[in-house]
Amino acid sequence: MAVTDLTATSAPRSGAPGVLRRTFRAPRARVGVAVLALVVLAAVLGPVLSRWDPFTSDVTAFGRPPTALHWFGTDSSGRDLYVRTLVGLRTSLAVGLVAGPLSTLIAAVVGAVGGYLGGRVDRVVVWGIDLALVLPSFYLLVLLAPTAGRAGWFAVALAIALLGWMVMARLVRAQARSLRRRDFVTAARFLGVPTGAVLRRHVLPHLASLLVVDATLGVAATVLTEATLGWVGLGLGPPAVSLGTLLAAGSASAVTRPWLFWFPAGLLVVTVLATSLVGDALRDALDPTTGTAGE
Amino acid sequence: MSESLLAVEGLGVTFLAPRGTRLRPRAGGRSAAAGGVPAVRDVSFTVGADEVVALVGESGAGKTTTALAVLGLLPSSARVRGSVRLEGTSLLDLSDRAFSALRGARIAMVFQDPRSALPPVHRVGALLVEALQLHDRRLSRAAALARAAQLCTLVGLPGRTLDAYPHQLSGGQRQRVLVAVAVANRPRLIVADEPTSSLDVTVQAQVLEVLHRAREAAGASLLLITHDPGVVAGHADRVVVLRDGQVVEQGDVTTLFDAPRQDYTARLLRAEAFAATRSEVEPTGPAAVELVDVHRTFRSRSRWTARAADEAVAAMDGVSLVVPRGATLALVGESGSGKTTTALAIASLEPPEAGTVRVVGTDVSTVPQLGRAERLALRRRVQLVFQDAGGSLDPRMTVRQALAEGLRASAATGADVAGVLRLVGLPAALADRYPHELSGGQLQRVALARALASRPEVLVLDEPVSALDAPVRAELLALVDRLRDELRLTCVLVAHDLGVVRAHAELVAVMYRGRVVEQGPAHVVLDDPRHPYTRALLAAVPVADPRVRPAPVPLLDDDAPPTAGCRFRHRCALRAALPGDLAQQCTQVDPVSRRTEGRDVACHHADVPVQRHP
Amino acid sequence: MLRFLVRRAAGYGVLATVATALGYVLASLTLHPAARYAGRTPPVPPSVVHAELAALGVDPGVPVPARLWHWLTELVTHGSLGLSVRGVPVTAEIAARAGTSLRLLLLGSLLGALLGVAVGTWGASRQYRWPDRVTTVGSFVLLATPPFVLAVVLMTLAVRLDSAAGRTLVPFTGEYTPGLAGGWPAQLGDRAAHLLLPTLCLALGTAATWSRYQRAAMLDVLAADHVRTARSMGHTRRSALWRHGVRVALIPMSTFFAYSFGLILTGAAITELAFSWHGMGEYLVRSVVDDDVNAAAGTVLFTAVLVLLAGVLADVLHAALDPRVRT
Repeated sequence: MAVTDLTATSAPRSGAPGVLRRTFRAPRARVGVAVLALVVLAAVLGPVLSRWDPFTSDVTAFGRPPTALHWFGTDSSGRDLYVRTLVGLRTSLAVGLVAGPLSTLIAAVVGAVGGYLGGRVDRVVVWGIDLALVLPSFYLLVLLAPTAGRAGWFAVALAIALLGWMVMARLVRAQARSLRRRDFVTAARFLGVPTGAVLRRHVLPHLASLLVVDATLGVAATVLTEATLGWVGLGLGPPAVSLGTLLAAGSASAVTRPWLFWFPAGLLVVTVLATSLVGDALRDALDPTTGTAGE
Repeated sequence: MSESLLAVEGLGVTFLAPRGTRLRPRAGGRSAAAGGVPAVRDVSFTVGADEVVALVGESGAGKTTTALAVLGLLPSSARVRGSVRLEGTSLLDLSDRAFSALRGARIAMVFQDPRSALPPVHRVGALLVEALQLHDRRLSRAAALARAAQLCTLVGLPGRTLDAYPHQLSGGQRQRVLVAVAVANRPRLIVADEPTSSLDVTVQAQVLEVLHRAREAAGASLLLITHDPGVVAGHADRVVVLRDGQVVEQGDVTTLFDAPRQDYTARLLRAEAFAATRSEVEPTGPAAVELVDVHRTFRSRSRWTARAADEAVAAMDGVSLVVPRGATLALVGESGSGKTTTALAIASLEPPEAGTVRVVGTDVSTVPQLGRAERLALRRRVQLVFQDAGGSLDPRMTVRQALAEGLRASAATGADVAGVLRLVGLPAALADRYPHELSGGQLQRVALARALASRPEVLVLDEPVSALDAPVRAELLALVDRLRDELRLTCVLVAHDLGVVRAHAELVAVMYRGRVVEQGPAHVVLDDPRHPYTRALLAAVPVADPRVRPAPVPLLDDDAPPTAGCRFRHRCALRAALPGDLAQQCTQVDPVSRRTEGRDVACHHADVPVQRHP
Repeated sequence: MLRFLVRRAAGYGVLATVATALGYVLASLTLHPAARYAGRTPPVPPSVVHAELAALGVDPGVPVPARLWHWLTELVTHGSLGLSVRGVPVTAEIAARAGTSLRLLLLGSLLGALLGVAVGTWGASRQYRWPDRVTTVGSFVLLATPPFVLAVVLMTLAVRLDSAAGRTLVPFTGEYTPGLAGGWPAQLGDRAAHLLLPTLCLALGTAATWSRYQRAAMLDVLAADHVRTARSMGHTRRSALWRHGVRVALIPMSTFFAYSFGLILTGAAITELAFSWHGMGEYLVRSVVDDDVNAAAGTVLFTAVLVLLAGVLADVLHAALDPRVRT
């Protein structure tokens, strides 16, 4: 390393503005954010733009393909698919936005506590994570789904979050463990900084990037999971609408009335894709191992 | 010489913006190169037949970049200009395939870090066979194996090494394997990039010896990159001095040592001051630090092999030390000797596994019973400076925040950030920098400032200068000396550089495999070493004088160290010279530390007169 | 080494037992077998309901721990998983369906893993150039596409292909064509043809995940010193990559295999349902719809065993790839 000029300044790698700038340097992040903004906008404002209501039938149009009147067509009961899809998107996004960050939070607490404290606490944590990993969470989710589905979208989000934190908890734990061994954490302990302050000041900020990325990707994963549950027929019960319930209804007629399947499916793929692009670009921007090619 | 073996002319290397931040390779290498970072500029030098040329310079001077450019192994983000000719062939114009045919056959490389340079999943034998067959496709496997065995012998490794995986070998052994790989096809030129800088001084001497032998056997020239004046003096015929990517001076080794034209060269090649500058009287008075029979065992539980007990390593095996108030004790020894563990046992204030650690009059086993305020007060009195200053500072905190944490945690009064920065000779303007914006020397000063913020009485320094270039190293040690006197500190200095010890410590403790084998006043121990290990350490230090060429070193096999009797006997030069009955004593009886000639030494035969180290 | 694997397998066994017990408890708490009898005409007398549920061992009147104990003892002493609500032994049902699921699982994950490793290596070796870009975008799109959507895409393509060819080239509903004439070669060919789309569906999703991880692992290895050593020995860039890079990059992938197996299982279950296969995925969903506790618990046990086998396999692979863990 060359001796730094005393007057030279440069942005610290870890600062938040730097991260955003680095994130948006990647074209895929720009595309992702733009698409995601459109998707959210559509979910919030889209239904307002239409004169139709998601639950009432247009008795003049049963199972019609897209027309100027019904932009996405209608289902077999004559309900407008455009409004239903966007209202469904709202539900799916809500589930994603609750479950993604929530599962990250669980992972962060379990992982950081186990990894940083070590010892007996850590062994219990590891055993718990291993146990939770033995059963594919989707299988347990299927068992929980009917109960949660009856209770509403928040319960579904809760169920998904409760069964989706394990892999991340392992990563957080490993990170916390390696942070614990880092010299600057030891230095803080030797200076007499209390454990709580060490965790808050030195450990959590270093985990933050990992957690932000996981929460973002968690939103994408949750939206997918909810849709899959709905498609299987075990998601939200009627009258609630989500991308999952729409796909469940539409997949049976994917050949005969393709619009019933492809509009929600397309929107699902676009939403998930945009979210993962943003998450991935964030990860690259936050990961100290990328973008540092030295001598 | 009429035609040089290697001729580098006008070499320039520029690195493009780091990968990953740039998603699209910019069109046109030239224009992109203009915006990149030049690492090497207009470097020209030659290496003649059967010649050893040393490439020296401080870190960041472009030594490694130059070496990699010569071998065509720079990453794809590098743009190279100029010409590199090997026996008349212009290397930079070659295709990857044509260059690969030369690499390993005509020009070979030994890398810096033997821990990561060997492929982890192949046996040594398979690697050597591969190296041989790559350049001679008709060579049968049996013939290649026979040749591989010869290569092992050449670098002083037992034949069974062929069946070993790299992770089963020590660092020195791995570096010997890399030397064997490099000379396998009798190349004309070997490029060695700091081949010994990550190794202990005793192992370093052996690897240099191996490199020397292998080079002679292959009749090759050597381009040796190093920062160690001793290595340059002992091995090089000519020296090329690099600074900021440019050649500032080159010439014959004796000329450069005796009459360097550049002050920079003089500072790089100047030997450490070996004269004892510290007081020659043994300090007395109350002990600031006292260790009595301290043990510390590391159990590394391997996931794959069954029992944890197999893996137990005694990092401290009955260590006893006394450091009087105001004195500096140096802990020396090779890696794995337990010196850092000992330093941490003092600085961590954690109760030891067995034995007693007393720091500033407090038995640390009582620390858990202390109240929070008392514990903090004790913490404040003992501070640690880490080996890797950069790693000991939180990369997300500015210098100000880091120092404030030190000041606040210890509730020090009357000190402020600017004040502690001034104390270590740094301008207050640095306070708002982040660690990655500081140089190595500045980082270590900040770490020192943070440790001193609480006005400690005992300062433990764990190899504080080992990562720094020689000139910066000297400045920092002078600073530590000054602060020690001003603040009346008691210091425990972990070091592997015996020159540093002689100049900066009154007391020295030599450690070997978790034990203190010899301790006493620095001048006594270093001028008249009595333990064979201390003697070996001193003998292995390369002398920074080109007229004193190193004597051949016997190549030792460090497998299966003894677990009973004297732990050092398998490497002991003294024991080899002893009559059978005396040598028997080493095998059977574990030597106890005893007072001999003004120092404590754990050797049965410390009184046996041996020719003194020059 | 062997002792390690045995110990490890034993540890896995304990985990599986506890996990299965938890699965049983969860199923008992969330499923309501009595609901099956509600609203029937004529109404089923409560005593009959009670008797039938008691016969199945799912009587809500009995506390869950007692039911669990009964279920576990039956499992250990008789190897029985109880009867499904349709009166068929769960073990028999699983035996009939396991082959279907395993066939898809084995072929799909194997193909997907190979494809993913190849694509990831290819992408990493040409980082930021077009192969890398194309495979990256492709894998992101595939990762955002749930298997049931992918299945419909594949089926639509198959229908197009068939109509272009004028006959059924790629049959995709069910495992075989019912009532197909011809000897066993025709039957075998028919089954293989039916396998094509589901296998592809599962493999593509798996490959997308794997290629991302393999790419990352490969990039790590490309920067590693030992690959540079290989080049200094005389390997070309490409041969250093394949001879020395891939093997080392595969080491973390063996661990990743264990973690990703749950995802593969989920994908396989969805794929089965999408192609109307009568496998374990369908059984699980049907058991939940039917409020069939024994069937659900049996499926969970089956799955846990599969995950454990995958874990042991990952350990063996790890040891085979990495000499550092063998000693």
